[in-house]
Amino acid sequence: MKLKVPFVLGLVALGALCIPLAVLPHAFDGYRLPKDLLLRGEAIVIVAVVLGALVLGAARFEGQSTANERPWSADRRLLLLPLAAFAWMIITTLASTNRGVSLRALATGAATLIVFAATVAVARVPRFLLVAIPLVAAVINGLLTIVEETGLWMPFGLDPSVPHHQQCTALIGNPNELGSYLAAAALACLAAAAAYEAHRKLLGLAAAVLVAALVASQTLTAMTAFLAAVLAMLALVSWRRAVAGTLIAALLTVVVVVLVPPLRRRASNIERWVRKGHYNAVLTNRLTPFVAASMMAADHPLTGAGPGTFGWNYLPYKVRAEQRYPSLRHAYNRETSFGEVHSDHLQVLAESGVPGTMLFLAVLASLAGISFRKGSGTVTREGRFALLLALPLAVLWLVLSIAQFPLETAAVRMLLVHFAALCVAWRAS
Amino acid sequence: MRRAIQLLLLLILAAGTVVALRVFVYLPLVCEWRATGALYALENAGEKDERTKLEAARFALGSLSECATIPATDFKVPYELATAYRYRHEPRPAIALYKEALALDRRPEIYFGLGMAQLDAGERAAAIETFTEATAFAPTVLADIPYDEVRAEVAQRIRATYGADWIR
Repeated sequence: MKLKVPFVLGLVALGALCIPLAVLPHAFDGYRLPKDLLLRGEAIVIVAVVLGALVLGAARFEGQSTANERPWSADRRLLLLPLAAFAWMIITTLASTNRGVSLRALATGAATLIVFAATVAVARVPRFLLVAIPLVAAVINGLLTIVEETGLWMPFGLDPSVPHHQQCTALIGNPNELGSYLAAAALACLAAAAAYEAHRKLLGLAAAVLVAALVASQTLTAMTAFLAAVLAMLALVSWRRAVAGTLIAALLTVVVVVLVPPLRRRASNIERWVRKGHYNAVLTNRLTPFVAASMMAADHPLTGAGPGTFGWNYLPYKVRAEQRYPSLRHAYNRETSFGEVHSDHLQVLAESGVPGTMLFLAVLASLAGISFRKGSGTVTREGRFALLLALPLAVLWLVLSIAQFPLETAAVRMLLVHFAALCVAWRAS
Repeated sequence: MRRAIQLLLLLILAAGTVVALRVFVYLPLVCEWRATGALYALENAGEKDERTKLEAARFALGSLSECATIPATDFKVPYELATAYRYRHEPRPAIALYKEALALDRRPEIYFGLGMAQLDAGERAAAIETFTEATAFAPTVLADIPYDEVRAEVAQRIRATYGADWIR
């Protein structure tokens, strides 16, 4: 009886499709919480299915792989780093300034790791479905973004007290998170279009929708990260193409900024703020959480303040930051309770210390390294997909983490983790 | 015999999975929905008469009682239950629940509610301390403190600790 793989494949596919689309309309936290809970549910059921397969003796282990499956030993090295990161999460939870809050973050980390491992496991038999399913959800979100930004339809109504753009969040819930999500999806779509000749037209169309939606989201960091990742992808193919791509990207950036009024306004504002020395405004008034996170890291350099505790620690550290740097008291969002730093690099440093940061960077580096592992013999479509996507995905994740928080939101994190898992599973041996 | 043990283990596993999904997925979703309704009811009643506040409190306590028994996903449920008890002039349970909310998230509105409950309970010194915490983070909270002498004392503490220009 072979129970494990079919059920787990279905769960992984269902999770990849449903998590980015899960919403609880008109609830206070109608976007993030349903996605987090769906991830939890997926992980619980995956564990139950695996345990059930073990009880029935239907689980297969190393050495029992079928002909077209990769053995687990080949993936072990690449799985060790995420495991080490999770082990560090356990240690930092024990040392946390608020163990209760950190336990919740640890549960989320465990769910993420379970889904990552399950995705690697089911992808050992290469399937286009695993690429297509998350892109279907992404295109739905992309189309919704375009429809909302153009004012054609607002599915959840329009609140006159909130700026229109702030309400254009598709099913993700926040324009910044939406930008990060679309950037990751567009990148994976481009890699898939290059790798899967049979589906190139459809994937090309999907990529066009996702890139248009990304521009419509007006998320500067996400667009910058996407550009950097695309250039990294071009560099994998040819350095000359990368240089030409850089020049074209610079020209396109100028054209897009000039032609799209909100981006033009933003560029003009940034130029004015830099001239006047209003650096906090340039950083969209996020200097206070940046300083607070730095202070947390300085107070807890080894184990950090604890996973998930930035928001809980923000109140006292924000007051300290304003005492040390009086100019922060003039921020227009002075009384906002920041739950995230808005920089995953700083958040990981503040919550997990220097070792946590090094593990995070090591995970990204090992992902990037997949693009440089060329095996002997013909590269399959899946192998080509992994080669083309791994380094750019790592670059995207690295740049996004400068001023966004992909690790903190299920939609973005799980999309990145899903495609990272495919890169691990499909890399050339 | 082996089959019977396997069946028993599978039944236990299935039951455990259903319980885990109910406690960690289904109920938190339901409670988020209920907490949203309770939050709007309590916020709308905030500036209204006593009767409206008691109605809102009754609604919140009724809809959130089950939610208090599952692991909280965030501060909302204990905070709203605390506010409901405060509207019913039951400061002791309100104080306990506000402190429970603060263990999950430290926000000025939670400190403000705690300060109000501490005043209701006659704990003036503790209330001043709590209002000072809230105002240090969000200076505009000072204007919401209803008692002139309490407000003046908090303002004085803020200026002494953080400087005259902390409250603009």
